[in-house]
Amino acid sequence: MDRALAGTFAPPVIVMLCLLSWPVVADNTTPSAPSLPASQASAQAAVLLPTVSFRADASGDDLFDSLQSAHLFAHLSKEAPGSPIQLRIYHSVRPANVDAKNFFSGLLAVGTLGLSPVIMSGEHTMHYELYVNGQRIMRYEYSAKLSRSESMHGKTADATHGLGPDGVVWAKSTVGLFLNDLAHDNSVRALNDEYQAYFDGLARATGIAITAPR
Amino acid sequence: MRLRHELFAGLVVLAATTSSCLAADGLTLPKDLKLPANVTVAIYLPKHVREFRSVFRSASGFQTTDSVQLGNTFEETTLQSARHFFNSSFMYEAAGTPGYGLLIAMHPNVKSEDRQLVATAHYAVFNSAGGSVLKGDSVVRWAPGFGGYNSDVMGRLMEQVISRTLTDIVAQLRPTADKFPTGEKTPLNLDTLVDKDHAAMSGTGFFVNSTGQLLTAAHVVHECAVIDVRYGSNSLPATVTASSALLDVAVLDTHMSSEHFLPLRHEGRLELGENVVNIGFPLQSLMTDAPTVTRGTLSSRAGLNGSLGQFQFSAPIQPGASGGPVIGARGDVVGVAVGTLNAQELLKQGVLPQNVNFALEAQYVQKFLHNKAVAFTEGAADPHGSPDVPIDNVLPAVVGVRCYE
Repeated sequence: MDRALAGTFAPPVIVMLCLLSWPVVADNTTPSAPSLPASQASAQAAVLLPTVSFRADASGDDLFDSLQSAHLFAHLSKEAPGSPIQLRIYHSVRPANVDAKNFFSGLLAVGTLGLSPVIMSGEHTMHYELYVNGQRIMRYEYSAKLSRSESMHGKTADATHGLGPDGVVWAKSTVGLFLNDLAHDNSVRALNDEYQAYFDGLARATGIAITAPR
Repeated sequence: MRLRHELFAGLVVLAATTSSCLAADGLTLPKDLKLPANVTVAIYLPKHVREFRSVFRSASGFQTTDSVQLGNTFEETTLQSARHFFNSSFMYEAAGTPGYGLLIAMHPNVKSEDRQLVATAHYAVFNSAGGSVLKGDSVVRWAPGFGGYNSDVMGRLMEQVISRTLTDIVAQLRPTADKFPTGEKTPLNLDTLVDKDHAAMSGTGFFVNSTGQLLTAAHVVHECAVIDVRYGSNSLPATVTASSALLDVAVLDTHMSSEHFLPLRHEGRLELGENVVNIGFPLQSLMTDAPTVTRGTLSSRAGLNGSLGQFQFSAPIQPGASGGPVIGARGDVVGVAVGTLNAQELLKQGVLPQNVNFALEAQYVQKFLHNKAVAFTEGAADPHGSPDVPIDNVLPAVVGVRCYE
């Protein structure tokens, strides 16, 4: 069976000693969205979902506060295991093909015995999924090609969870894209309508209502 | 050997990798067989299998990161593999599929066995007229070698078992367009494609009126290709006619009149401490087709934090009890069983929950049935004026529900 290298390296080959660096690049953010007529989008901006359970990996967890500050997710909670509605967020990465930048940074890192960092490139994706009692009702993904530098000797925990500092900034920016997409998403309105239909009294008690005209 | 391109790309690296074992049972392709075969093939995969994708921890060069890498979905892997074997291939869609010469129904499964991962695929092949031409099973085993590590074991197993299956089929049938000409769009009975030996999901339901409509939990029947309702030794096909993911309830129609059905609690009133009975068909793969009856009390009017419209009861339930009625002392339904505390998760925190189960209140069931124009009856309005109902009178209205893909 094919195998991937995992921490087993041959003796380094000393090639050259010079320091080069490349900036982190974030581009090609590609959201996807079902549509709602623009006239209804503003009305939907007033929708407030009931308690939504939040579940995320380390990268997604950093987005909790940004999401909770949005009107739609004001009742987002990490302590609501019984909520039928669950927002799941996670980060995935697809390593990029080898290019000159990766190649030379690898040579350099080995040549300098780890003094020079290696440039890692890949397509990073933030995944947003909304589930209702285990049924996924929507999924949005936002991708960007990112490069970051990494030290051979870096053994400490990565606070950026593999994103790199600028990648963290990019990940936070996807919250706005996600909220914007939800504002045009029919399934949010349908979910809220169903909630109102069955739990109207409960909704009134917690101030949950559609306040804008439909 | 595959060099992961994010690691020292371009360097000459001698990888001191250790070995792992991959073993597959099956046929080899005859040397005179030319691929891809000139035949049009439709492939049926269960819905949950189509969407399954391997997920593995991402290694960012020198460190394992918190992010993951996603492999292809089973559907993508299957179609990529099929292109090597057949001139034309696509997924079979029950709603409508182009004409085909061969239809391959595959039911893959992966399980852990004796420190090995064992991938199996049961397959059945049909011609364009719907006639069965081949059946079989393919098996691939994977065992990690000493110190072995592989980033995408599941993805590789998926590829291997699909490739193994298609190899077996091609080696045995030696398909050509002449032998298996593309036919017209022939609607095939899904019963022949699904795996009837293994239900994808099982649960419980109960009739709510005399026209054969019954209530169950929505998660039991979500995206089933075929649904069976079982009572005694009988089995009936059923279809979903209404569903609410938010409430987790669904209405099934058997299109058969039902003499026995259950009334719902009048105005959904809950009495704390009331004796309740849960009837269910749990563990249907292990148990016989007989209902189990458990007793307890209505222990709380509230469910878990964040839950909507649920109450707590103490009558024990097992997997497969979802959708079963929680019945009050007077034989009326006070709720529909929808879940239980995850004991395994809580045990990790040093807590062992006992009989903490949840049901959707009857008042929300009534609203749902009313919204969907499904007929139902209510129990007596006066709780003190109605006698206790023997459980034997209730049992015939409760059935097992099985979902097949």
